[in-house]
Amino acid sequence: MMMLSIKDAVGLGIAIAGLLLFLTSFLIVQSQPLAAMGIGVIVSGLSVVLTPLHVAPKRALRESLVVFSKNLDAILESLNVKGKAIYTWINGKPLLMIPLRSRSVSIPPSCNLGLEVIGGEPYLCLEPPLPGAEVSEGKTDEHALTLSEYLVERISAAASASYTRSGNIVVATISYPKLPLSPGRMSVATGSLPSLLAGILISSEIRETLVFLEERFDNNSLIATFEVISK
Amino acid sequence: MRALLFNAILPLGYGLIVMGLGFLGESRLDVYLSILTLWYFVLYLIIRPPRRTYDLLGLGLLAMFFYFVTLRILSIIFT
Repeated sequence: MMMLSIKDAVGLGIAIAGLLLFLTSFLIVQSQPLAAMGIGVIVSGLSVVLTPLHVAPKRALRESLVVFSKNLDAILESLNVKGKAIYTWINGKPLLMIPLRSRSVSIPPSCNLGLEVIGGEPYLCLEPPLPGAEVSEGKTDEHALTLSEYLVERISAAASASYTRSGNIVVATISYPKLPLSPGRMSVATGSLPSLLAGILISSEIRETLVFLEERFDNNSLIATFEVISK
Repeated sequence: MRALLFNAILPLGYGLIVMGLGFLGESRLDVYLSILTLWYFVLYLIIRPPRRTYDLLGLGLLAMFFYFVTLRILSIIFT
């Protein structure tokens, strides 16, 4: 038997009370304002039911991302990665493809997680832990997370974040980043954690594949540059 | 936080809308429901509360809104 949470029970209770108010006022009292109020109460109750119970706390999200970046940095260092990361999304999931030897000329259409050789080129393919960044083809933009919404509101990772696109070049500016910047291989191959998140989110938002070019720290802002490429 | 804000402001607005329209002497249920639907979507677009799944409630309200609009149009055409 499905267990109801307290929140769901309260929401359902409000909705049932609204239904009783609606039926009573519509059928017995025949008062339109009261009937409308009953529908309003039903909607309010159902809105409570539809609200998710657990929204991951910012701190937990940030911690998981920091641990991911530490592990990734160590893996990139041990594999002596020389390529530049490709940010894309396949079947709605953001995907990070890192060519191990050099910058990839052609972009593989898909990649299984882990180490995979595609067209003679070894790739490290990863799915970053970025809840909510799923994008489905054909859906409207409201399902894509904007850079600032994620970095500033959801995980408080920066004071502000934005990006501009000029032709094939996308430049992300993340001011006062609060996530650790990697001095290691990550800063060359994928970009530090804020740049990595920016790459995933921008790729999801513009529905294009991006290749990381470089990042620099200038005037309290992390500036990451990406190139838009077609698959 | 956004969910809490949405769930708090929604019934508050509904109360004010019903009281306001009632005070103006409005007695058509479809007018009430249209304004309630409008308030829901305005608030939804501003606050963008998280949802477990697709916004089924919004879809239901929209369907109800179009039902009343259709009835109104038909009553205009056939009278």
